[in-house]
Amino acid sequence: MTRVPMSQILEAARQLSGLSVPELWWAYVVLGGTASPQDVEGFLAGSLHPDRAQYDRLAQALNDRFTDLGQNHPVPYFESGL
Amino acid sequence: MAEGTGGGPEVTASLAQLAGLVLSEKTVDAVLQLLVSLAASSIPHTDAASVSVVRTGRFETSNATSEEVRAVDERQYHRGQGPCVEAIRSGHRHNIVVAQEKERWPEFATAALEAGFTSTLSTPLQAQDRIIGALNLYSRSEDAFGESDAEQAERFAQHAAAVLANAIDLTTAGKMNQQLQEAMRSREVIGKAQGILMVRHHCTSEEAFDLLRQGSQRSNRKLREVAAEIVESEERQGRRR
Repeated sequence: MTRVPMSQILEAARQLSGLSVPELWWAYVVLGGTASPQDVEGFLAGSLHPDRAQYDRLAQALNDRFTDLGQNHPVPYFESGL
Repeated sequence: MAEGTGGGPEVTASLAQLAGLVLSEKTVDAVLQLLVSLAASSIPHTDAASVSVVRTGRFETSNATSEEVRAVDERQYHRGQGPCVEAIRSGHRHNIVVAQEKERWPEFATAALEAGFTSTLSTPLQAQDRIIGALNLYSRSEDAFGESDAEQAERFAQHAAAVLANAIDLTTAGKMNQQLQEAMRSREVIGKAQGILMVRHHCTSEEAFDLLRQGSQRSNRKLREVAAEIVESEERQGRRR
């Protein structure tokens, strides 16, 4: 199976969610994310790689947003074999 | 109105009135609205006026003397083409005859001509070293705006820039304060819920976060809501104990 890079999943989900990068960063920090806005940009661009804790908080921030949009957790979490 | 007064009595009176209002008026929006109305009524041949601003990287019309002029402004924003947009980008005044710009800015020219506007004058709003918007004057007269009109527009633009810079700071500060408070409350709730789960399940804080995340997924609710429910249930039990 071809693995889709985490950054592509996050960035595609971010675009679909309608969140700007600063909005996503803010939601992620509220969930306990500790990376800087610049690092989050790097995670989305694929130039930096988040660890599991940071990835899952970004995925959760996006999924929280998708809950508002009527979708049930479309962004996969780290443990699901990314 | 007399032409070429170049800051004659009417304009001076308008600006004095405006300066007084800036001090007393609480709502920046009301001041900007007054400013576009005064610009439209004070500067010869001006039939409509608006203020374009850049907010979170996007162009928008904050105030306009009519919905018609707001619509013409907006036709420029989505493609990023037109004299208002160009005045903001370049930092230079754009004094144009609409019919001559059909090739350069077709969408804008069509919209403006449909609304009957044949000349426009867009003056950048500069706050310190930043361009934060533009004051746009629209006229139904051909080649309406001369040098003295441009000078008057410049005076209005200076006032608008001062008011707007203040507005942006206030809005940003107010919004940030609100966001910070919400964020702190959310983080506190999530942190408490993690603590409760760590005790209940003898787990690490990351494992507790995973439990919250799984709860959010199972119930299709936001993680913060799941956390709040855990905290509330613990507090209810604590009261019973």
